[in-house]
Amino acid sequence: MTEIIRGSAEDSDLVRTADAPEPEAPGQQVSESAYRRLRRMVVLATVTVSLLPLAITMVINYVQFRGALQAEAVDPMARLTLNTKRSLELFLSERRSGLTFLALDRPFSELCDRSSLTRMISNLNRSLEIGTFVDLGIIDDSGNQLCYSGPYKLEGRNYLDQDWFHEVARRGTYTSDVFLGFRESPHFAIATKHDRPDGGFYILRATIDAEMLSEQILTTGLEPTSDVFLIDREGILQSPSRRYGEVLTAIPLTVPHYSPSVEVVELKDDRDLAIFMSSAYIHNSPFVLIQIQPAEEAMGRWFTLRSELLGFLAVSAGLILTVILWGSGQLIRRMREADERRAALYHQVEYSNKLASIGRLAAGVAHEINNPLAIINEKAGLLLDLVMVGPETPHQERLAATVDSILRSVQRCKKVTQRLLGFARHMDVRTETIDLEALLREVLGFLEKEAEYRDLTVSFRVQDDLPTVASDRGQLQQVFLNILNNAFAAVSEGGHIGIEIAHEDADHVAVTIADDGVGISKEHLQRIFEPFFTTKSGTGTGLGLSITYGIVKKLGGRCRVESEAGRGTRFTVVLPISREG
Amino acid sequence: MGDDHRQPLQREGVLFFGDVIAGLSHELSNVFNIINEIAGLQQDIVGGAQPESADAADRLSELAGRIKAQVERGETFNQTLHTLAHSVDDANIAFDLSDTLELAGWLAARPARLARVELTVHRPDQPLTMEGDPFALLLTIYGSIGAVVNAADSERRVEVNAAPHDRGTRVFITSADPLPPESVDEIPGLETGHLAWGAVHTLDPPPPGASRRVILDLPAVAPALKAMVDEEG
Amino acid sequence: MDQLRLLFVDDEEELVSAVIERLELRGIEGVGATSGGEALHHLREGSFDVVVLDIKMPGIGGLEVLRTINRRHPEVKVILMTGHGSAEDNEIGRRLGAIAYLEKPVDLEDLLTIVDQAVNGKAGGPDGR
Repeated sequence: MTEIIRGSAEDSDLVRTADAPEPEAPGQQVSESAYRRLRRMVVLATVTVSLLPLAITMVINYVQFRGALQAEAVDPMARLTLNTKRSLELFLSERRSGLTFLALDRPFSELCDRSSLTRMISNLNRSLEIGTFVDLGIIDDSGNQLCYSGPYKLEGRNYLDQDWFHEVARRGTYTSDVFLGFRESPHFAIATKHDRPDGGFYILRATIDAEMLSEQILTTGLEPTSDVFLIDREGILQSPSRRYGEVLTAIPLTVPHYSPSVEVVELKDDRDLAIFMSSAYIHNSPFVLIQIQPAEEAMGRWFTLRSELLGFLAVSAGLILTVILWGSGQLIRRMREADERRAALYHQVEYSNKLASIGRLAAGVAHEINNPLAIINEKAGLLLDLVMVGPETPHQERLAATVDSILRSVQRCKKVTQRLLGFARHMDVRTETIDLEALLREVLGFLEKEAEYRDLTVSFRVQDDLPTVASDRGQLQQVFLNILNNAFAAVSEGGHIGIEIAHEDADHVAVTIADDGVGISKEHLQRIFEPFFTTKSGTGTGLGLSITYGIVKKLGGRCRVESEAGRGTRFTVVLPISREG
Repeated sequence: MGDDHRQPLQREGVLFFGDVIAGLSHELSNVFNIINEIAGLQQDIVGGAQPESADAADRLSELAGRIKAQVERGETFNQTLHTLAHSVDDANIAFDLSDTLELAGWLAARPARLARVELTVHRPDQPLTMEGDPFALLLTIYGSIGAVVNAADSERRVEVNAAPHDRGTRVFITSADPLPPESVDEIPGLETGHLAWGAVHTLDPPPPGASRRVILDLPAVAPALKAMVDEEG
Repeated sequence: MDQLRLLFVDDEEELVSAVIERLELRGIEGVGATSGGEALHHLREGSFDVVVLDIKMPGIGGLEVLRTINRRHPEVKVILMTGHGSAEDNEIGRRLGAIAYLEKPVDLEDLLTIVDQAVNGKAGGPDGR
């Protein structure tokens, strides 16, 4: 409340000091953080419940679509590889058939003739239309090259120590991997084993231009970004690859494991690109057919779909979150408003009650004053009448009596107004946090002039880390003013007053006012707090200390006095750090 | 006041009561002191040298008249006390702002006198009906008058009047001196939502040379309370 | 002996006039003032034996007048009046040299007893506790 009454040396108790913020009444208000917590919970719950199914659905869709589209991309590739594998196998099988036919159809003696072999090569090439046989040779079961037609000088060679010889001897047929042959161009060889009627066997071996292999592969319909090539089981290119180079270079990819069927895998190539690789082992050959297609290419449709899905997820999640956040905000706000209205209503009711009771008291007082006031009025009127009547002796007595009764009524009224005043002052009890040192210095301010005038010294001794005290400022001022007054009264000119503020215990602070004045005798010490007890001659009311004692008690504290007549007095007020009531 | 909706008007109401009741009790005290003295004087005369003389009789009559005058004065204060006491009877009623204004004027008379400011409250010549909490309104008006009285410096004259405005009423508090903005914060009931009038406080920038005015814009129906009533109904 | 001159200061006009009249009936020359300023004016213009002072008056208050009296008219005896019984802070006045502190309504006989003592009997001034 502001200082409505200002300026003059008004009663000190009507001068107000500034408000401290009012502590929260328990149970009346929900704190800000509680609302925030509640909102967080609501948002969390709603978001979970709405976004979780959405997320799950999204994940399922994602996986399924991906699978479907992947299959869609991958299946043609696999089919293509399969077809290519088959045609390659057919190609090789045809070449082998050619040799087998020769072996079956021609007598051995004819096969050992060079010019015959040359003629056979030519006929083979003509009949097969494609697949150039480059040379042809006969090898006996000891590994000797019996006869040879072709560009190499191979007559008289022995192959007994060669792996391929043993393989064809064991398995009956052999296909070599690609090597650089005639004119440094890639070739490969096929060999077939044939039994001789009189025991033993011979081997027909032919070299074929490997370019035919490449042509086989490339006739199949391919995307421009795809790559199809053959490798051997060590990963060496048997046909040229768009991505990985010429024949006989190693590919940087891992050779897939053997499988009788076409396998398609997705992996990252050496350049960290996602690719699909379909592979097929070519039967009866060392070759592995590899088809490579960039994943992006194949999965173009999937990527579009995926972005759409994610986009949809993002938008719907965003929408849901926005709505939830806004909605929950609104909800909590309404709740809070409702709570506040309820609290306000409660306050309203409470406040009505309290003020109503004050109102009733005040009304009661006003009512009490009415009567004596009316009496005074009556008596004054009576006085007028009496005076009119004229001088008579009994008249004078009556006059005196009348005036007497006026005075008595006034006394009554005075008592009532005193009560009213007491009651009004009582209403101004409020708790603030108080710095005791500051308060004491303030109170001392009132007595400054006197201290100066009488040459008194006042000293302060304040402990460190003193807590502030929650109490009623006005009342504390009264208490300390009273004690200081007494101290000032006790000392003589040049006297000393010491003020100490110290911790009393964990919950209390003690203020001690010590003087070196006349002191209090032992008998009096026991009675100083009694109302109307005074050692002063003159017109002191003797109420000072008893009022002080009462106030301190009301504030939840206690007083104690130590004194020695002639030496001085120590007056201590112990105050609680916080008021319980 | 600002956003602090939490500060219950209750506390201000109690403090206000403390202030004004103390003031009234002092005034009443003065009245009784005077009557006391005059009666004492009468005693002196009656018990004195020539109690039956014409002079004495005249004197006694005159003094009796003065006692009556003081009694009347006392009755006015008492009436004010009574009216004040009953201003809290109902927190939501229809009432006449003129009554509230008059009461605020009576209550502010003493602080104005002590601040040596001449305060004049003009009672409107028509009823100004309001609906809501008359006590809360009293607090606001009294607080506003008090703030202006305290700020009066150069001319020390404050005038209060009210007139209908829009769908409510406007109270004008006129003074030659401006009101410091921080004192506005001390006036209860301004700008708060729940318990008071939510009166909008306007500091009128006056035309040059004219007095400053504090204007309280009061809706005919206290909005916060109306909202509460609606909620219940 | 000269007639006692007493200055009575209170912001209630009616009270002052009643008191002055009563004092006159008792042979005391009373002068009234209804403000601190008026009181100081009278003090400058004339001399008084006793000043009876209401401690709470608007404008220049009772304490202010008291201080001035201490400075300029130290021989004047001062009696303070208060509206209610808050003996504690009213002790200030006593400390500053008032010879008495009386609660209103002041009983005139009591007042005159004190005045008599002050002027004729023992001296005033701060007592022991």
